[in-house]
Amino acid sequence: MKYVALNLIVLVLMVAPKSDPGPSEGAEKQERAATSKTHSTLPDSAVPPWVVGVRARLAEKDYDRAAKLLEQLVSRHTNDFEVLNLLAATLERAGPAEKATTYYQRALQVLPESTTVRLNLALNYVRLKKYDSASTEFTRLLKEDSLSRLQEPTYQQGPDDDVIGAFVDRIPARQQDWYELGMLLLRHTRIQGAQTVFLKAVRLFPDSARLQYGLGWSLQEGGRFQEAREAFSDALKLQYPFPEAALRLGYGHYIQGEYSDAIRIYEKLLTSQSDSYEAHYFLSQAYAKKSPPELETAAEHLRKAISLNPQSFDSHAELGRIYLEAGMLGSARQELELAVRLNPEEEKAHYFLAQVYLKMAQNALAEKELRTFEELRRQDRLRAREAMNADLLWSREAVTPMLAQKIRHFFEDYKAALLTGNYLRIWQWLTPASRQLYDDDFAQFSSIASRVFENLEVRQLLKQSTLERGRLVAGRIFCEFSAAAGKRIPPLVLLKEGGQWKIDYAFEWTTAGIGYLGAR
Amino acid sequence: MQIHNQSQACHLAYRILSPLRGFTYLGTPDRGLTASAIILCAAARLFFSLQKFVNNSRLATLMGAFLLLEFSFIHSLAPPIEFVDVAGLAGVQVRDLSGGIEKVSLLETVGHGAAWLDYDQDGLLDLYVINGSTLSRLKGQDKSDPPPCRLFRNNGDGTFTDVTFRAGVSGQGIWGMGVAVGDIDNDGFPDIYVTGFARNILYHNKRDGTFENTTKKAGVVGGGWSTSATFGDYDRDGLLDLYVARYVDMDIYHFPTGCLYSGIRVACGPMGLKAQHDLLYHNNGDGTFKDVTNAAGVGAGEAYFGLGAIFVDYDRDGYPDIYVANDATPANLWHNNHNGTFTDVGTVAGCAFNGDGKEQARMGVDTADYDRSGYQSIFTTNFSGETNSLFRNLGKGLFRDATEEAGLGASSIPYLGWGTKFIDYDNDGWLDLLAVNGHIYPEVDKYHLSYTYKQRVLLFRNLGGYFREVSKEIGGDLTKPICGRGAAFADYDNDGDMDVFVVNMDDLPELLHNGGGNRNNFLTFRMIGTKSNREGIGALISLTVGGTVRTAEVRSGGSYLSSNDSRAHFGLGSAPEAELVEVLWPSGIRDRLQHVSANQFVTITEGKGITALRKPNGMKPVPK
Repeated sequence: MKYVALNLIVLVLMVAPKSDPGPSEGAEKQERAATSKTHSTLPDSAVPPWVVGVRARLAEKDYDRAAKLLEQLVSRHTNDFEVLNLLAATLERAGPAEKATTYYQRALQVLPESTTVRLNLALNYVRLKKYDSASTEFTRLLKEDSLSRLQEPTYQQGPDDDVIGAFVDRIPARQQDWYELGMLLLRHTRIQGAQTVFLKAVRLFPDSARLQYGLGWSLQEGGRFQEAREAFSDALKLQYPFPEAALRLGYGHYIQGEYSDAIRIYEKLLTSQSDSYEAHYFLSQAYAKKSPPELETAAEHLRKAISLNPQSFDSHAELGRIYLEAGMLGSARQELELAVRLNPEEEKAHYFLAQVYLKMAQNALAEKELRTFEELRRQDRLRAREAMNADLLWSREAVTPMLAQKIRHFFEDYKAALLTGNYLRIWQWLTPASRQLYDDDFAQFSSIASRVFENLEVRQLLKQSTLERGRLVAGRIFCEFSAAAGKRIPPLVLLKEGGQWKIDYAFEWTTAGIGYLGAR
Repeated sequence: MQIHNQSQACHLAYRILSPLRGFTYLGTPDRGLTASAIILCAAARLFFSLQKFVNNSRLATLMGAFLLLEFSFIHSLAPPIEFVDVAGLAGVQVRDLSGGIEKVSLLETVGHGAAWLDYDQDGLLDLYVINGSTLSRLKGQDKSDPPPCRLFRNNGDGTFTDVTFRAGVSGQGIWGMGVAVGDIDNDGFPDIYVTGFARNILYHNKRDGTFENTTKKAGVVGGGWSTSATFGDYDRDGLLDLYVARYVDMDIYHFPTGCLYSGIRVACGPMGLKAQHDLLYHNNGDGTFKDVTNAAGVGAGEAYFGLGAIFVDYDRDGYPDIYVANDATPANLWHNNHNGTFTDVGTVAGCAFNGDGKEQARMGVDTADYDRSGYQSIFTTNFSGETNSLFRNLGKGLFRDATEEAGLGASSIPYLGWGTKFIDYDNDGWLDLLAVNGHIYPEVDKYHLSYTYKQRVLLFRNLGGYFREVSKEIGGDLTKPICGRGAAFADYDNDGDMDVFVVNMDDLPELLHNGGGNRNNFLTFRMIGTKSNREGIGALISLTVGGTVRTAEVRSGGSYLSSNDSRAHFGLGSAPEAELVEVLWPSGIRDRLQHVSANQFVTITEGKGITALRKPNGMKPVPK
């Protein structure tokens, strides 16, 4: 459920805004490590030590020392997109903000398509009161960002968006510009900035339903549910029907446990949009949750939702669950087995199916489903933990043995593949350990990467695959390689997930943090 | 509406008045109903009689309605139950310290607990309060001592005296988390186990008002980040064993910071961090313990983020099992295999994930026979944006997520819950629920989120298996916004109703005194084991009142980081007695007591039955 996912986003940021004053012993240790152990050996360190050193300084708001460390790194890795961006963001905090501009610009030379860096640069201009330059960057962002599906992690963001207010006060713009700027910030999870933009915009254009909707969305994402509901209601007063606003308003009630209100909203929406899959789906959820639940009505709406979208494994799973609640085990089994067939990774379908089997006294089948369910959940947790552990490397012990094992395997495979010219294999392994490879032997890596991209099989897969959200993949290698090789390489990597090849963006396995969905 | 008999009239009366006074119709009137409900029912019966004698049905209806309202009005004149914060008057105000005000690490957000125990065996419950420290002290940058944990001796007049240093239980610089209380050597004097960051402490009660730190000798240092601990005799050898939940494997020098929560940068975790396995210590009977974590199987599998833990015999096989409320990971239900080992059956049993098949961020936990089924159901307090969870025990080792159907779902969504317990606050015979709340991110106020940092307590009244939130109706200090964490429950003033001590994050605590809960009758049981462990932890008490049976387990631990009054408290409604009291001791010995009069503190000694009775309000024990 994309709405749930949106509401549950937790992303790791680079910068600690608050901490105890004064440098710590631990931070000094890490600084020493940062300057002395840039090149480390496997498997002790899966992350360049500079990450830890810089983080320690940033956590203590010691921006001057963090900037010095980063400047040293820039002198060594002149085209490292991440280091450049991070240095700029640090300088912006340390002040004066003018120094940051150059490094943002250099980072953009390395990776012109990075909307995060461009947004940082735009906000830097605002901070410097260079509103014309800021407008230019924002305009370009608005053109490019809507086309780009690049999902970049939030740790690459610059300082907080406290400057947005100044910008919106200075720049007269059209309604649509305000909307797009707000949505741009929202897409980049700069929720406070988005709220500022929309709050300003609805004052300028009080009759715009779209802006009220944007305001509601930004408030909802920011956990200001009551105000969000008011904004969505205002949007609906200004324009009806407005399905998106109604859906979000209903969802706002739903997640707060106000099921009767959610039902009222969705029922009303269906009077004008009877074929809205989302309305039927969420209406069924509200009916199933209300006290006492109305399972029959919930099932009716789910059946309608399925008729509108027969491939929706989510609806099949929920319908199966309702049948399970109602004691209709045969129907429940049918729906849940279908849900599992449609999406073998649909966790809750496995969970509910296990309960059906248990009630049917088919214990072996139940146990199998529960094991599958537990394994899927476990993998999810493991991904999050490995990502954070590998990225932060607080101590040697913090690196999971599994990760260390993977890296060891990588080297064995790497050597074997190199000898046999199996570049596809190298590419598969390259993802989790690419940073180390890059650190250890950049020249060789560049050579391999160039051949990989020339590999016909890889190219074919690139063409056939659809783009997916990024996760756990190396990013800065492409930037550096791109610059070194003198040609642009798309920031994509190939991943095998759930037995299928996927093309993924390459920016979430990098210096300071991993974004993940599904937690708080 | 045509009324045909008195029962229908009674039903109607409840339906009419329930929105006004919170009553509900519970099927057939029984002796366990509140006095008010009985008055209303009597009014309804009169209403029915009037219909018979007055030919004009409209007039009869009007007269009946008038009488019903009249009865209701008269009844409403009775003083309401109230919870009043008397911490200041009682002299137990100790300011909590949990790192800095700005919470940069998870360590600073989880708070502390407290315990009720009668450490000097004078019949009055004393209070032990855990306290924390700061990151700079942990790192050695600040050489000053952190605030000590505090032991307050109950003076018996509603006040307490700080005896921390005389008793020798200051915590000695620990960043404390939780506390468990148990008589580990069966000498009749409870010992204290303090959990903390990096190390734990066992204080052995020397029976002279002082304690000795025997942690190292006993082999229960723990290490890592321990949270809730609970005592239980899992192998039924008559000695209390110890389960210690553990949370995150945290390096204080290198922890992640600046994660996003609703677009706000906050402390990171626990998702993505490394969890630690919990610990199980077996009591050797000589003052020492053996770490049997791996041997018993509780160190097997994936480690989760443990916060709350409780011993509970969920399947009534006589062997205590363990339920662990884990943060952001599945809960554990460690089934006791009767051979010194445990198997996690949480997923199969249906209480590891919520009804949607999702992990929840669980903090506090309690179990009780809230529905009079004879089985222990499980309640956990969870993160804001989630509902709390009630797993109803269906018997046969299975649970069902009954949160919504029991009325505990939607109303808990905005609240981030911690300490909790099933208590019969009004002694009406049905176990109610109290949950203490407070957010972990101070930033939520700065950015005006719908979830506030300080939140009020939630009190749910049990209306016969269905709960209704009544905190606002009761009002007073119950609705005061706090940033609550640990909560320890007890009838500390021995007046026959349950009170609550709440530890508030970076703030003064609250001692919520229950005024008026004892308008209904009660029975409180203190257990003395002879073959079983001395406090009778794990004993199952079955009470037959008005033909219905309620059960309770005697236990140490539960709630969140805290330890409650180990006596078992039962509300009896208006019933003058329990017709039958049956005790099944962990040893297997049964005691049967008939016609136990209400409003007494009853001491039951294993194999001997009642050995002491005491009236409420601190009267001296009366030997039988």
